[in-house]
Amino acid sequence: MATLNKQAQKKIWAFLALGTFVGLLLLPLFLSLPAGASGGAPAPAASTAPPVAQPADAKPVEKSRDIWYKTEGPVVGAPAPKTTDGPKDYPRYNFESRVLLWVANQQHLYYGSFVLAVPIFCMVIEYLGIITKDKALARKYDQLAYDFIKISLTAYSLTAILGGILVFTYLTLYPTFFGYLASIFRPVMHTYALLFVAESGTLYIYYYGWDRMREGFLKWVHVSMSVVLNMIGTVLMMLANSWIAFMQSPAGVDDQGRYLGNIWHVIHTTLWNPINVHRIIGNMAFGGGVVAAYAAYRFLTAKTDEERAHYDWMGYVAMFIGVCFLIPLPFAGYWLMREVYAYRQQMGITLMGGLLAWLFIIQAVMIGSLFLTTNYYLWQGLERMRGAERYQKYIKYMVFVLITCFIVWLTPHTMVMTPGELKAMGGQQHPVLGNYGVMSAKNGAINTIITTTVLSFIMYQRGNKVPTVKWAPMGNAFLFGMFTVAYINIIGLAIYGYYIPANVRVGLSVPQVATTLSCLFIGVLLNSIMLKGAKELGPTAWGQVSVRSQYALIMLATAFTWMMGLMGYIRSSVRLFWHVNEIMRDNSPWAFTHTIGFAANMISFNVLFFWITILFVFWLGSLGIKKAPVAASVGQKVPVPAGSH
Amino acid sequence: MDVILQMLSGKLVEGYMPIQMLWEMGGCALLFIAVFHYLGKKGIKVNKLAQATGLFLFSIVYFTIRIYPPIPFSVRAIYAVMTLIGIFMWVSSTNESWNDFRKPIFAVADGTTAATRMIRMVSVILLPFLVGFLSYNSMKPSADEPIELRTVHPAPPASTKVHGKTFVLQTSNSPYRVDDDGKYSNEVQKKYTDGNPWDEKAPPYMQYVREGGQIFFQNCHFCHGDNLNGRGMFAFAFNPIPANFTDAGTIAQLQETFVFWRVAKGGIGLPREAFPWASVMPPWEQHLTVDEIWKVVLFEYWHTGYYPRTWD
Amino acid sequence: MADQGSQISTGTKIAFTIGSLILATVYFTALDYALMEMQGLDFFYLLRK
Repeated sequence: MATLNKQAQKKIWAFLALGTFVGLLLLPLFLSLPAGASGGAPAPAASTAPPVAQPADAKPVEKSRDIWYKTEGPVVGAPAPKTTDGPKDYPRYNFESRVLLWVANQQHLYYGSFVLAVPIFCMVIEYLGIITKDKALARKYDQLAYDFIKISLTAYSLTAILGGILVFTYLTLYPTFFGYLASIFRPVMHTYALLFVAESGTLYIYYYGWDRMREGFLKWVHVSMSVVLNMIGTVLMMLANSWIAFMQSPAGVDDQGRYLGNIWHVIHTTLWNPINVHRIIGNMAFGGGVVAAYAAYRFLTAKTDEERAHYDWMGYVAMFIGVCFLIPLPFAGYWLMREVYAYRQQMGITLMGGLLAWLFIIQAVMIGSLFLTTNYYLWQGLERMRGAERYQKYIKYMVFVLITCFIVWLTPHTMVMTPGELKAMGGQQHPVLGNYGVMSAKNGAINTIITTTVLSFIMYQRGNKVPTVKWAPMGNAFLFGMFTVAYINIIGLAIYGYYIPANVRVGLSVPQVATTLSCLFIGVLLNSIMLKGAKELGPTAWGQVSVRSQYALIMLATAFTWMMGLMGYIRSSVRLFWHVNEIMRDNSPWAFTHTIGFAANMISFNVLFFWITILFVFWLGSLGIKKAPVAASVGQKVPVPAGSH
Repeated sequence: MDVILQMLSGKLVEGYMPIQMLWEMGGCALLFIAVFHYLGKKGIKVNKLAQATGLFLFSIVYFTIRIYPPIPFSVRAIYAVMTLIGIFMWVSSTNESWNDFRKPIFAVADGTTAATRMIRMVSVILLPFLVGFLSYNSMKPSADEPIELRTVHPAPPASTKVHGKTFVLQTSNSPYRVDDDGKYSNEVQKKYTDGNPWDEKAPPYMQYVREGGQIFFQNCHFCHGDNLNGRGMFAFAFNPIPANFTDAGTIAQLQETFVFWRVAKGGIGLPREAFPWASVMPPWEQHLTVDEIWKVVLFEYWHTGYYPRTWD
Repeated sequence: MADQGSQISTGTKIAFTIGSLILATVYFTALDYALMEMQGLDFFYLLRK
């Protein structure tokens, strides 16, 4: 009984400790928010003097109208400074300041997203390890989560360093602009800094406490700590997002850029939440990609079969997570785009149809290549399963469908051509291919690509298994029927779109997406249920996979990185010659939009730089490993993500 | 039925061409698979490298010759790269097929037989020449016209001023797209798709369409054509030819206010973004009243059967 | 994908397949209709002309 009591006591202490911990972490938030709401008025003055007495002798408070929320508010800030080109507002080296800022920003962002995403995986994987009944399996999950956090620890300090570099770059090269931004976001920036401290503290306890807290209730505390860690991380990111959202779609200030005292309006601009959602999902996909690349790198350099098996498995898990988040990403992007259009149609057209439309075509190439690579990786994965040869004969048809859709997906609305070709074509629009250039066709193509990817995954799930449940023939028939009709529905809706007015046509994308998602959820779920207790034709031989599949993983990660750089550039440059859209003009010599070629080269440089530095991080991570990781020997059953049994 | 027969006879059928091209590609792919499957059954094993080369060459020929009018090189290049990627994914999808694909390449590299040694020697000699030719070609001064990245539908301004009145593009509506009771209606065009503009008792909407048509045929049809397809009698004096309103990519993609702005301001009123401003359309505000411009836009939508883009 | 299920006759398999095709058609049409209705749009726009 005494021991039980002791345990109960331990539990209470653990709860108390955790509660205090969370409370302390949230303290800075509570402390700084009220201060922010009063517009950063000097705090001591506010507390000593009675608030009513002030306005009596002071001249009446000037009121002004919020540029977005249209509410009245007292003017508390100075108007946005009007900058002039010169060393006062734009001190510089003998170089384009904007490019320096670009690199600093992008690198900070890469590392930032990586360290935000990886703890989320850790949380999920550690949790999986706890709830798994199988002891060996649980240990494997735990080890994997630990491996993940170890990589992110080095990356974390790099993030902080890069953040410092970024702030200094701002302060030294764009002092006037940064001063304005800081004057509005002062409380938010302080909260941000304090939360960063909290994040570091949690991360270090989480990492160094791993072994101490590995048993029983402490393990649960450990997992909850990862929840706290991720919550802080997400809030951090959302605060940082509020600055860029403010620059793009300002609110909480009047038309001269004077702050009106409501910090929530400044944070919660119209594009803030769409950017938040898009970035969270994007970070996860990106994090999955980077970890998969790490595993591929370790696979390719592995000396033993055990290592190969382990890293093959790790790559698969990471890729799986990445792709899971890749699928909702376009929908989040669509929401963001809709909000941009709703905010300023002009901005939307500049993005999608005007100045930046070519970058969106490059973006389309990248999205397509992500899906192609995923399919390719899954097909290569069939090689490690005996009995999967049955499905390999379908690959060529799937390649055809994917490539055909990709061709439609990539056909530009406005084609690049010489005037001679233009004349030969007899007009700007090609009578055959012009029809592939519009949204209807694109929606049909991308949904077909995603549905085919789902089909590939179902094929992969089945690889070495034959369902033995009684209703298997019925299930198979249903899967066949569902996918057939889904394809017909998606393509049919795409064609239908040409015959109906634009406002109805835009609505068609919703049922198209719903069709794809139906296939994803019903298909994968039904298939997983059907494969419960299925007969295995042979084991999954982890590690016995072609090197091509590992190169596919690296390609996937590179594509993610490149795409992030590209989309960030697009989002940022759509402001054109504004620091803060329609509030503060960029009067530096670099207010022009870069050529597509220059931008692409810059993005490639950033990607290359990131990969070189992260290789260094990987190498550091491998220094700590003296022995080979705990790995199942080849052929032994190893865990795979839920749903892929 | 008739359409399918026409397609089978090898004609590109107007109105079905986009889907026809996809069907043809699918048919070719199936035929390709069937032929090699049949040959394989007969015991004639065709090497994967040969199959892949054949397929690639066929796709080049198909996109170059089959589709008319000719596809610009930039787009054909995209298609060729896509085809190559697809072929790579196919031949390397299994180890067996990948090894088969690589066999002749390795055989040549290793030079195992007299024939392969011969090929190896020839390639080793030819390769520098090929590279030399490529660099020569890329360095040679070219007299070709430069490629133009033309933005056909540039971002419009937030508002535009015509005859002293300011129109906010996002919120303005055509004053003539009205239902029988004179209220703005998105549905009225659909209601009168088959209406008769010449009817004396026609509803107001159809009356406006008729007036718009008269303005169109007095001013616009010389260039934009009496079918509104951009092939009027003066059309081919211009390069590029005037906009084809019957194409799904022009007015069907745009808000009515966008078209209003373009008509009013003409080629000279294109924003900087629309480089190289390849339009000689006159700014029609100098010749037409605001009402006339709205009516002619109304007519263009009614006649082509497209609906202006709306955001709700 | 109906390549397994050894004990079941071809006739039953065909019946299953046709049944699923019908079921899927009904499901997807209902889905299209409902989602368009939800946005206040008319899925059968062309038919109702």
